[in-house]
Amino acid sequence: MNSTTPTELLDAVRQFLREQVLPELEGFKAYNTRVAANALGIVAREIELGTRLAAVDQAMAASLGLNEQAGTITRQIALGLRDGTLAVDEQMLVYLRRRTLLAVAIDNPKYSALAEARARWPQSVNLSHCVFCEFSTRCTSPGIYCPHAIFPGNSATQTAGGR
Amino acid sequence: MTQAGAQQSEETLMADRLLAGLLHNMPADNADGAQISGLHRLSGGANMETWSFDLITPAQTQPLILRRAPGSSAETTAPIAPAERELSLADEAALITVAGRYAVPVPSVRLVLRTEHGLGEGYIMSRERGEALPFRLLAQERYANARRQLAFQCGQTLAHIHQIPLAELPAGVPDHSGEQLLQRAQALLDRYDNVSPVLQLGINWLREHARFSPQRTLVHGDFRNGNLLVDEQGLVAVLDWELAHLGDPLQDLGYITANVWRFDAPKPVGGFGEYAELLAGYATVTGSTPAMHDIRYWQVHAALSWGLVCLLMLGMYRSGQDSSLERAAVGRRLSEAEIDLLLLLEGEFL
Repeated sequence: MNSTTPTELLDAVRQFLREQVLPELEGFKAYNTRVAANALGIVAREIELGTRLAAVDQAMAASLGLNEQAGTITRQIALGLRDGTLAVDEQMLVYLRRRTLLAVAIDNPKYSALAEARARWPQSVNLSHCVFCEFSTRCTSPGIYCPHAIFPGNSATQTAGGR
Repeated sequence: MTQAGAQQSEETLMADRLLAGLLHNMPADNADGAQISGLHRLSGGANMETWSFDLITPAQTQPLILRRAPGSSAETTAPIAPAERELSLADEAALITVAGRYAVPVPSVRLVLRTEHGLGEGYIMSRERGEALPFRLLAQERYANARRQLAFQCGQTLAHIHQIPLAELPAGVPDHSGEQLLQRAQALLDRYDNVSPVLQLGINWLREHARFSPQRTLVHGDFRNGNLLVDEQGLVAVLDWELAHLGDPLQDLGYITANVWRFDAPKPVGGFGEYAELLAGYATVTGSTPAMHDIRYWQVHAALSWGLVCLLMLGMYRSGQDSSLERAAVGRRLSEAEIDLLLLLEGEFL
């Protein structure tokens, strides 16, 4: 058996804050305790999904021929959009949607726009190969709704396509 | 001294100074036996403090609020001025007083703090009844009637704000009209390391579709669910004037209808009302109804602004200017602004 995992520790502290500490507090301290518990939730989800977000960025960087030594991928893309050296084409929009869907799933999966976006953009994830699972070009549903990877859109706790 | 003891004595000193400042303006017979009671901090990060207390005199009990800049504890008279605050707290107080004269429901300003008060920079205003917490306003049965009135009242109130003659405004109200607004947005994104391609996409779109309004009015700048004090009958007071500026009045209409300020409730106006109600309230005062097309432009701007505020707050945390948990955590709300922008801009590029 492994020792306690980071995710287990985070969950335990979060539960402690919510169930033991919060009922004892009010006002400013109660509010901040809620913020603290939420922050631990973000870290736990980043542990679960962060590598996928990095994979989305790296796939785009490879496609655009960006050099990862030249700064973060998102910064290079933001500067390219600012200066007009990168086009806002289908590939760019699909990339931005995919990374944003993942980022919101990490930061605030209850945010109303996430359900809306998942419902609206199933097509934004139909790609030629999957970066989320080992099947790559043979994946039956490459991208955000890849059935082979544990992704919030497919997990038991949150159903894809919300509303 | 224990930490609790130190806090106790700091609050006692603060209460003494509040009393001295307030009594200075008061007839002597009223001041006899006056005291400050129930002083406690309500909320806020380190960049703005809000305190609640009562001034008890033989004649009456006055519920009051102190709003002041950080670092202005009773021991320091030189507050740390946050670089991002353009409108001084004294001008904010003056603006609230002017707005009150033009049919905008606001608290009454009782005292603008000066150096000799020893309380830092800020002002004291009346503590009005009502609720400002969005989740309570949107969920509780006791506000059901208020929710039916509120969008219309917001429309009326925004129209009153937009009709305040510019000559009446304090000189410190900054001008963000025309191209300046987007130039400022780009400068902020550049300053925070161009961290978000989606915010850049938003700035590009706003630039390409810029509408330079012939109107230049006072814009509240932060008129949203959460900054509105509401009771069972509806709107009681408009709070948080620190982002007020001159600009396109429709900016406020895009802001009050922005998705992030609906708090996951379904209705477009603050989560509580419909567009038609807001616009009807606006039209009763101005005689004209803003176009949805223009409001949508300002919704894109509101989403961008939220993203930039997240970056600004994160920047304050990283620089050590404000080490509060809330500032660190709000940085992660950037992705809310990004997904709102992508949804709003769908179909605009291809």
